[in-house]
Amino acid sequence: MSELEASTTAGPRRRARSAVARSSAADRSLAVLLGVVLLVGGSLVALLAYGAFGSGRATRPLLDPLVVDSLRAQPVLSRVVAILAGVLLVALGLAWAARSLRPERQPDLVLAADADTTIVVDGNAAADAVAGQAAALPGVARARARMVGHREAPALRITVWLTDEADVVEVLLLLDEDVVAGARAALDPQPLPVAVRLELAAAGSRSGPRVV
Amino acid sequence: MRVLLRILAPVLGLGLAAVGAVLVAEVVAAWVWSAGPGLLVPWSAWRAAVEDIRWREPAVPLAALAVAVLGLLLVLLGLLARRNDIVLIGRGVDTTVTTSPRVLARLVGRRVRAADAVAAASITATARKVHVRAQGRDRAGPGLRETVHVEVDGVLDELSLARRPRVTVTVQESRTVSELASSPFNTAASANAGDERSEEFT
Amino acid sequence: MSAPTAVDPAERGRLDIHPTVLRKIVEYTADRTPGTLRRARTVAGVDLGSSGATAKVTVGGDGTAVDVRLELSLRYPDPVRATVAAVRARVAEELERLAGRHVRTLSITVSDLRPG
Repeated sequence: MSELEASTTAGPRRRARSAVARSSAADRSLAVLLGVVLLVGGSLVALLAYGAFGSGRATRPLLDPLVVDSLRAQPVLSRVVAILAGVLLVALGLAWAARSLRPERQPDLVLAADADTTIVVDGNAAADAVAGQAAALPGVARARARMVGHREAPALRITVWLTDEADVVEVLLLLDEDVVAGARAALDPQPLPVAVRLELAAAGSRSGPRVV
Repeated sequence: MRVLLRILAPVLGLGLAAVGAVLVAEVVAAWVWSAGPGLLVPWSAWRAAVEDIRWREPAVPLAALAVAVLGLLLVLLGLLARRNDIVLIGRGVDTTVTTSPRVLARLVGRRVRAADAVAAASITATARKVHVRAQGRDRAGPGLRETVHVEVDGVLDELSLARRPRVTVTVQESRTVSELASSPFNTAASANAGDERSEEFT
Repeated sequence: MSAPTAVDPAERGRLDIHPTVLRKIVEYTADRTPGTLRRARTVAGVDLGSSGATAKVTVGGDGTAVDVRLELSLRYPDPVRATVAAVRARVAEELERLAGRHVRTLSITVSDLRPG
C-alpha cells in the first residue's frame, strides 16, 4: 500500500499522530540500508584479508587476475552490467536526495468537489487563521500552524510556545474548545486531525497584547 | 540525531548519484575511446597503484574496517533518529498533543523550584523517567524528598501524559549542584537551575 | 397583402452582455454577502486600497449558462460552507435577475480567513 493510500485510509488517531512531525522513515530506512551494505562489505573484506576464508585467498592480489580475466572474457556483458549498476545508483541517489530536500507538502482543504460546486480553502489561509487564534490565548507567547498531509488526507499541525506563567492545563483546554473546535466548525465537513506541539518560549517572554 | 539525518540524507543521496554517474561515464568512455587515462577520474593511475597490493597487506583490512565502522555509524544513526515526543492525552481521538523531553523537564523544574523547601534543582526527563536532583535550603531534612515527589506528581497529573514516567528523586546536601551529563545515546534533556533561588536570599 | 406579422418579443433581438459585466455583477454581489471580507492591498508598502472578491466568468453552453470562478476572503471562524452557500444563492439570483444567466458551475477558492 503506498504511503498515500495508507494515510488516506488510516484512522483519525493515526493521522493525528503522523501529523506531529515530518516522517523521517524513508531517510532512516535508506541510511540503515546503506549502512548495512557498508558494514557487511567492509567486514567481509577485512575477514578475507585476515585469512578467514583461507590463507590462500589472502595472498592473492587485490586486483585478482582471475577476476580481471573473466571480466575481459565477457567485455560487453561486464560493461553493460557496470553501466546498469551506475544508472541504478544515479537514479536511487537522486531520488533519495530529491525526496529528502523536498519541503513538506502544504495541502489545500477541499470542502466540496461536486459536479457543480467546488470549494477549496487555501492551506496557508486556514493555517494562519488557526495560528492567529491560538496566539491570542492567555499563556501562549507564540503560535504557528501548518497544514500537513496531502489533499486527500490533510491534517493540521499547531505549535504553541507557552510563557513562563502559562497554565498548561488551561491552554490545552482553550486550544481544544476554542481553536480546534473553531477550525473544525469553520472547515466542516473536512475531517481535520490535529497535532498540537507544546514548546516553552525563551525564559522571560510574556503573552502581551497582540499588535495588529 | 534527526537533524543530523536530515542534513546527511541529501548528501548521501547525491554522493551515491555521483558515484553512479562517474561509473557510467568511465565505462562508456573506456568503451568508446578504449584504453585511455580516464575521463573524470584517473582510474588507470589508481589501477596501477592497486595492482600490486595483496589482500593481506595491512592497508586493506584497515580501510575495510574503516568502511565497516562508517556503515555501523550509519545504521546506528538510522535506528536512533527517532522522534522522542512525549505524548499527552489529547481530547478526542483525532487530536494528538505532544511535547518534548526538554519541555517536560522545564515544567517539572519550574514547579519543583517554586517549592519553599527547595533551594535548587536539576531535572533530567525522558518519556520514561524523570529524575530530580534537589538541594534543600537550610537543612530541610527528610521531608524534602517527599515534597519534591509531591510536586513532580502534581505536574504529571496535570499534564495527563499517556505514559507516566517513573520518578526518582535524589536529595543532596552539598552547596554545589552539579550539572547532569547526558550520555551520547540518551534522549534525555536536562534543565539546570543553577543557584538562582539561593541567590535571592544571600 | 397581409399585415406584417408581429415578431415574438423573444426573437426581436439579442442582448449580448460582455463577460466583464457579468464578472462585476458576481464580484459586487459576493462582496455584499455577509461573511465576506475585503482585503487591504499593499505593494511594497504602498497602500492600494482594498479589494474584495475576484471573479472569472466564462459563458458556456447555449449562452445562458455561466461558469463562475471566485476568489474570496471570508471571516473566520464562520463556517465556510454556509457563507459559500449564501454567496452562491445571491450570485445566482443577481445573475438571473440582471443578466438572465444561470450559474452552471461554481468554483470557489478561499484565499484568506480573518477575524473580521
